[in-house]
Amino acid sequence: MDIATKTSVEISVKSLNLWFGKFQALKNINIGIQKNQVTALIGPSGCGKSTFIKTLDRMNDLVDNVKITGEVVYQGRNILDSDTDVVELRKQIGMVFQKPNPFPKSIFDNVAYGPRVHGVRKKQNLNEVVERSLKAAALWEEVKDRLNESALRLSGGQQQRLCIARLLAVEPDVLLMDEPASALDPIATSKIEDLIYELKNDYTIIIVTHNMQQAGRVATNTAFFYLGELVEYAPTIDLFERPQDKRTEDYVTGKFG
Amino acid sequence: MISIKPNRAGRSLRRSATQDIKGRTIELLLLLCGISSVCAIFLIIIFIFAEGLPFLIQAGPNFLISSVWQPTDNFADGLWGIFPIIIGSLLVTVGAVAIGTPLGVACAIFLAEIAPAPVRRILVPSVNALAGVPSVVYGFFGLLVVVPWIRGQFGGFGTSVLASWLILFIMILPTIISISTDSIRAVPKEFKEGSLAIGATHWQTIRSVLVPAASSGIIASVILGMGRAIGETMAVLMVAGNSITIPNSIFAPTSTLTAQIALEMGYATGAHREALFAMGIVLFAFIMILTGLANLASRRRIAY
Amino acid sequence: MSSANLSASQKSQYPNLKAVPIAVDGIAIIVNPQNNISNLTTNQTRDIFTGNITNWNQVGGSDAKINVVNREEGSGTRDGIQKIVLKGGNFSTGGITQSSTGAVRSYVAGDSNAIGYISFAEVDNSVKALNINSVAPTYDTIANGTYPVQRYFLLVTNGDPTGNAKAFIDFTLSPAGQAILKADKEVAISDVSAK
Repeated sequence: MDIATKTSVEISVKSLNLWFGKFQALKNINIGIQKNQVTALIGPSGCGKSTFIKTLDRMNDLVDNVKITGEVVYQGRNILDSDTDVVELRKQIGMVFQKPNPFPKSIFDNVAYGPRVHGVRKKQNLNEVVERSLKAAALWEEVKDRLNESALRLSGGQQQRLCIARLLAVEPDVLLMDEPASALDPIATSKIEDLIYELKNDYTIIIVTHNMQQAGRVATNTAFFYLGELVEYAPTIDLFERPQDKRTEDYVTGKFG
Repeated sequence: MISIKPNRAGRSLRRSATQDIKGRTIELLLLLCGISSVCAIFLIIIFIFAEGLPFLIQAGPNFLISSVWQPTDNFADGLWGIFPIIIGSLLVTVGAVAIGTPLGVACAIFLAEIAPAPVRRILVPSVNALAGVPSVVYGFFGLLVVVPWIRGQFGGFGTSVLASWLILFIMILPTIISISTDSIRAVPKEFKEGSLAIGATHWQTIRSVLVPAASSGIIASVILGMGRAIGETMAVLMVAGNSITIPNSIFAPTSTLTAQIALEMGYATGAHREALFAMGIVLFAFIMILTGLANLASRRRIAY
Repeated sequence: MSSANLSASQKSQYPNLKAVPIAVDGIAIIVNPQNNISNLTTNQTRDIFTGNITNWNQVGGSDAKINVVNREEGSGTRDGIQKIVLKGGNFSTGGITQSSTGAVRSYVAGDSNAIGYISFAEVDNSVKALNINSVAPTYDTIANGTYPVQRYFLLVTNGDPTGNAKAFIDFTLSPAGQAILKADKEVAISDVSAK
């Protein structure tokens, strides 16, 4: 079954290859990411799934010696083109990282950071954005009385939700999440998962995860990466219950990973 | 099948006496090293105070606030005012730090964030080499190049506040640059990624995340640079002009506490010599105050 | 060795100090070679160093501020100028201070408005030594006392010299020792007219 034809596609990846020096980390990836759905990327360590989502907002630009071929079409243009406005792209396609990385600033300043660098100056507007973002990230009730405290005093789960709020404050369309719960305890993880489930109504979400249960809980579609290849891409339930490829089957049944 | 279990025959979980002695000896040696360096510092302080304090008490506050310096070897015949020298010291230090800090931090940002690797490979050793140049060489350069240039451009002696600034800020740059560079590079890369990933530009990331996160290191670099500036003697001695007057412009000669001590120590006897030690006490107090202030500033910055 | 006479306090602190004069050294008042002044009176020299005269045109030169270069407090050369030229008066604070003969000479060599003082023995082509009261500093004028700005070089011992110290002083005062001093443009004690 071809997902790409079913509903509207937000990001369309065609023949994507990526090399770190001589090592080819991504091999001929073709995938269509559905709009307003959660897409999970699973696979063993080193399979290329993190590298893949970093390509979608050009964060691989920060790595030396990277060569990329193929197309990533978003909003009708290939964002890999050298004339892409990377700053504008990252406003629309934001990323949450594996390890919560709030800035060593206050909770308020963390969330207000994005709007500020994009030119919002008025205190009133900033207050609104901060409140709205923290509410959307399900953190508002926990921090509303201590917005001026250091973000580093929050728990790991709260920090990760703060990072999501920080991202939401710049009003992106796509959220990339690179194992957002892997550094968190089960309770914090389930809060993040609930949040992801909520957010998919308004955002297109791509989540990298090691945890297959997590993919099963939150994702509409799941892609299985192995050794730099996209082995299988299907609605989550199909991928787990009726894998088409032997390698996918071995992975989802726990034979390796 | 080969056993991978180690052979534990003859091994006991009890600590052996020789191991104990070895460990204790090393700890003791390290403790002695620590104590001896602390002792050295205290001995110097005690010596300076023993030599200078009686004079300081005899001269009273006039020593600090009066402006005529005519030392003689007995107290009654001399005039003992070091106010212009204190002003000179502060002026020279503050100016050099004020010029050196923005330049040094800018250079550190460039080295840590912007310079491509080949450029960095050339610049970093150059900056370090700058730190290794003896101060007399800076002084000589100042005397032969900077001083005549100032004299030609602005008149007067050339040996001046400005000349001291220009030489000193170059001398404190390596300290500021290398420590600031290290502290910017030590900022976790997650901060940078987090900022870039929400559409901040590289420059916004540097300004709003990297530099603030590195601020305690940057402030420490400025403190150390300031310490070098206020303590620098030889180079300042050669380019400041050593005139004991409050400079009326940056082109006028000035004098600093360190330079004045070095200048006069050679021939000083009696009360004159004690007065120089008293100057040392004043210098010591200034360094303590400046360092304390800077530490306070850095502690407030890293409250987050 | 000292180029300044022992002070009262030095004598009271170390009552056994014995000073033996070994040579006479002229102190040359030096200016930049471009300076058109070549003679000053003792009084003019004094007024320049005390700050009463601050422009070269006050002593017949061009209209330019006089840049006075001093030695540091405690220097024998400074002490000599203060006693002989300033007659005990105080140096103006308007000048700058250099820490050595070489530093004074190279400063004056580089600044056309500068005036300073160094040992006659250290004068070279980079600076011009002024006539004082129309007397040029030369070996003979220093020896016969007509060049006024001069001081003794002393060897100082604690108590009467003995052993190596005595042998060294004897050698310095011998013809061979005095010849070495003369070769360095210091005036041999034997050539000095009775003062």
